[in-house]
Amino acid sequence: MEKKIGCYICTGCEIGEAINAEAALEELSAPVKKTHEALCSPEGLAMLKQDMESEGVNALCIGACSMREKTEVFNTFDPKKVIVERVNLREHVAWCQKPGDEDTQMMVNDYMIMGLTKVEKSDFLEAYSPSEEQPIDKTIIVVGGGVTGLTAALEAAKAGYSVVIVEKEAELGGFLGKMNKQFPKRPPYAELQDTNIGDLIAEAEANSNIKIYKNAIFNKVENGPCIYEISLNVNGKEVNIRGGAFIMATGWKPYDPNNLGHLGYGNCSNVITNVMMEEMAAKGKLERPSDGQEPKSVLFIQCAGSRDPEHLPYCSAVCCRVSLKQAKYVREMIGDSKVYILYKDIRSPGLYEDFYKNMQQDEGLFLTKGEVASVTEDADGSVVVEAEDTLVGKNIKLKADMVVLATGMVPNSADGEAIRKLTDAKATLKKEDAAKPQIEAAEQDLITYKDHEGSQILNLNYRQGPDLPMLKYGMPDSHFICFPYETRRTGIYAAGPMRTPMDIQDSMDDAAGAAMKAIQCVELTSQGKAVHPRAGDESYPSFFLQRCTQCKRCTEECPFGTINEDAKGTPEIFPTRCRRCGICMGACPERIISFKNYSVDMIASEIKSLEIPDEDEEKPRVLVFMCENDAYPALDIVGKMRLQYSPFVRVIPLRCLGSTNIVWIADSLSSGFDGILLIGCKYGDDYQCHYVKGSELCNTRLGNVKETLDRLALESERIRFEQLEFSEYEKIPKIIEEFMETIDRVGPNPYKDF
Amino acid sequence: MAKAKFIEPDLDFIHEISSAEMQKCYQCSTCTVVCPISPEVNPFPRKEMIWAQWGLKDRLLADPDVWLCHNCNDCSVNCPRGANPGDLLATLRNYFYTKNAWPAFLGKAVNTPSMLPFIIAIPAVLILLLAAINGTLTPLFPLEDGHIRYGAMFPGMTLIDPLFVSATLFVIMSFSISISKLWSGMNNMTPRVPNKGMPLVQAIIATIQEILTHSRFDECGQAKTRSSAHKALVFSFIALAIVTGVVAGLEWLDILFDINLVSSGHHVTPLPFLSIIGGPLKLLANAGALLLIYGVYTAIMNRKNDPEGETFGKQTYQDWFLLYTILTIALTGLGSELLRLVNIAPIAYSVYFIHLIAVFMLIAYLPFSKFAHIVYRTTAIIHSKHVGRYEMTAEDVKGKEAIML
Repeated sequence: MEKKIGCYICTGCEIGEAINAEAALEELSAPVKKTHEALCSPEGLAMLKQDMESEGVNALCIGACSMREKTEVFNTFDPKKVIVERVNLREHVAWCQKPGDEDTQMMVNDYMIMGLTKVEKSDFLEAYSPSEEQPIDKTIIVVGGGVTGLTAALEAAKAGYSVVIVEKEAELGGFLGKMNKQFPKRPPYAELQDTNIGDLIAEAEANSNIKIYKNAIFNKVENGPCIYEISLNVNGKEVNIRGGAFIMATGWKPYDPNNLGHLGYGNCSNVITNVMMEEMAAKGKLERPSDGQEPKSVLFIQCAGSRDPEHLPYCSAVCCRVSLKQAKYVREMIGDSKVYILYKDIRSPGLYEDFYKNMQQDEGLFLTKGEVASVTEDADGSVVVEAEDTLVGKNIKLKADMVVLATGMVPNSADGEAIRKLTDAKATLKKEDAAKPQIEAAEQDLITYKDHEGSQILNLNYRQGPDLPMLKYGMPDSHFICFPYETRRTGIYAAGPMRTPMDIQDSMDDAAGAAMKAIQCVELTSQGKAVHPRAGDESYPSFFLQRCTQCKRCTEECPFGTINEDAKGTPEIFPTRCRRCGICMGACPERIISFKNYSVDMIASEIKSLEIPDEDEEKPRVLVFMCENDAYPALDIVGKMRLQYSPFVRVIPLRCLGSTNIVWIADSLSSGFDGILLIGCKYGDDYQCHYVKGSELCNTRLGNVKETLDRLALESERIRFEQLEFSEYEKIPKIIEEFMETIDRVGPNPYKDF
Repeated sequence: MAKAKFIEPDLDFIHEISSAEMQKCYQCSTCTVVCPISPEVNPFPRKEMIWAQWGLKDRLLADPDVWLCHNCNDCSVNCPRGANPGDLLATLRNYFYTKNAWPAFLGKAVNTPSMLPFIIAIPAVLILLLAAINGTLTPLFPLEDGHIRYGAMFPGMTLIDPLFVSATLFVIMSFSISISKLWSGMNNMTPRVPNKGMPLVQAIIATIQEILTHSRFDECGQAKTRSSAHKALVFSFIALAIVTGVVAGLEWLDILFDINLVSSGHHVTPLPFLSIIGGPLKLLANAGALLLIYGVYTAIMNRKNDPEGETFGKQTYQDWFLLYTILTIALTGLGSELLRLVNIAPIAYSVYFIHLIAVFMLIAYLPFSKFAHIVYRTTAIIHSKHVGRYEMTAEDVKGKEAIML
């Protein structure tokens, strides 16, 4: 389709007073150039539409407010028919620069030229349609038939989606099915409640939208969202189904008490775990293992292996309330019984505090903080627990007929990346031409990851591993700090205790949330649109494979496992798995990965389109690459707060700093820019990158560039990487100011006049 | 590491002292922080709260801190959980009066409201019996020269003195048993730090000073008004004790040596106002009585104006028993004097009879009523000064934690 470009500058919101719009338009070569006092008004929009109809304008370069504002007006055009590029003249110029100043005008001129360049380089989008390959399937596959899985299945089914539950065990119900009672969930938080799992199972079984496979595991999962091809092993028979999205509700398993010998497990016959206690209570009779007698006194040891760097470093969130509940079992089932609870802190969050308060009223319940020093068996089979630093006294000894260890929750998950390392190591050892260090590394990996052998649940056919990646504690990282349910595999959502320890109520809430995410996924994907965080984006990367050198950087660096490899290492892309962050585009040394509206060449052209003032004009130029997710909106706030900063910076927003291609650095320096500032999200343990590791990858790539610069005797200080979170907007003017001082110190770019 | 002690909750004890409020304690220790008179090492009342929840009776009955508390209620007012530590300590003291004093049956009788008639009847019967033996119990109330003289019906030498001296001896015996038990218990719980504690005599003197000046009591935040009432009561009791002692001495001087220092007649009482000794004594007695009325009235009104016990703590039978006994003593004492002056014999003698009963109840039931705090608290304060409770530091008790806690 022929492109006809219209350039528009809005003079409303003080833009008109700060700059000369007409002068800026004069610098541009486009068939249609207009100003308007309020482009976002009905009259303004009418003018745009009029130009589109009568003049045939179909590519708009709009100089007005931030691209994050007035989206209800400017995002209404179909990107398959109209290109829209927003140039931020309000927050990034008019509101933060001296009105009427020569430098301010230069800034506007440059931004408009960059915008126009981008429009010239952009193409109309062609939405990816998975249906071209295979029929779309919106079925939601729920992995696990416990309370989380059943709830998620019912939520999705009630919303009209067909659901498949894949349960490994012979019966539905999961852990809740084995439980006696649950702690109270309603005011006044006094009486224990039935689990009601039977009702939930019956409801799921009766729902015509839900298909249930019991005794079922995954042989293989291929392809991506909406076109998943799934092979199941159901009772030993292969069953092939299709699916749209996954909800992982695989639940938890108790921490292995065999590691808790120091708390008496295995050494004292009457030391049991809270899970064993629950099963005993469900059978209706409490008896101690050694002689089957009713335990008249029961001692609970909280955080048994939890919040302990040697065992589970985290808090399992429910054990305190579970022990209070089980204390009630003992007190209700055994007359004149005494129950002791030795805790680190009692954690009964929110209104569950009332349950704790109610239990405190029980005169037969004895609570104290304390550290267990020793657990030994007495001659009569009872257990002697010695504790230190208790609230009752510095050192105390307690004797109980039975001790219950409140063990924590371990997610039922598989570490896809670890399994992959194992597979890779095996492949290396099979190779005949493998080098010695490679063989040694492979042998080491075999030992390190041996526990992961055969642990996969989904058996994904993904280059980056057959299951979800883990970050901490074996939980699939909910990869966007602020977004629960998300995992680092598009279309696969985690819910319940497999994601983070939680109680029944939270698991049910979680299930509903994950069902919602899965529904969003199948709906957006079936329309060829991206899911969160670029929800609705219809662009997708295309690979010019003829020039691919099979370096595998894209397949390795994609945080979402979008890309597989063929035997030779050529990338195979699965667009429905893609989040459109552009990290592959930044990674590719051959620059063969592009979006229709975002490419290496496009940004490079923007950089090259600018006229850099001569050295003697004393107007340095600094290029700022900014992450669209945090840094760019933070700069908008700087404008809204009317904070001033240097007029010598030129900002280019990026989908993610991970999409930074190193060639842009070279392009900037050779174009005469004196410095390059990159502002991205925080990385590390508490990373805030919307694409998990984009900003970190960018920083790694820059490290390599800096080395090169040093070798070329070009000051590496000219390039600076900053981590910023949205709330730190007030730091931006300072960061810019300091960087300008640095540039002042190191002097102008020596390439400037070439 | 010191050897750990076995701990076993006493369910019966918990049942006796437990309250819904006490069970609310979650050991934040706000109470010990806000308490103006809690010592630095092992401060109270945080630890007492959990010991009570756990039913650790032996510790609590030997715990001097229960008595170091002056019940100012700062802890209860500031408790974030409404656990009322002040009430718990008061409950423990009441438990001590009720259960720990010898003989136990009297403890139960004095502290059980339904047995009030019985414990009033004891002195009433005793007095009437002694009067009958003396032959002074006549249907017509005796007048001498047309005037009332209480000694005519309730003679000092053969009625009052035998009765009250034997009551006093009984009280001393009872206390000697409980105090020796408490003292050794306190020594176990808080061993002396020799270089920090005072010698015993010095500790006793310092304690008397502290009590007379109310220096520690005045530190209590909520208890400002309580302290002034308490001061009035202490000084009035001292004044009245002096008067009683001097009068008894004068009477015995008169009886044994026939020396009457106050009047030319045969009797010391009623004290003639116009005499060198009698005049000041009478002034002192009346001043003491008025001060007593002021003190007890203030104390009663403090509690009346705080029916929920928000400022002064929960009200107990023990509180009211003591306050009304004192009020009765004060009103009937002053009433006896006035009725004697207006010379209405039947009423006057009756009021005086009630006065005697009330005084007997105060003295003879001392180990079992709240009044016993004058002995227990004094002992605990002496002990705290003797062992250096307020001066000792964490360093001093290092290694002894297992014994102390």
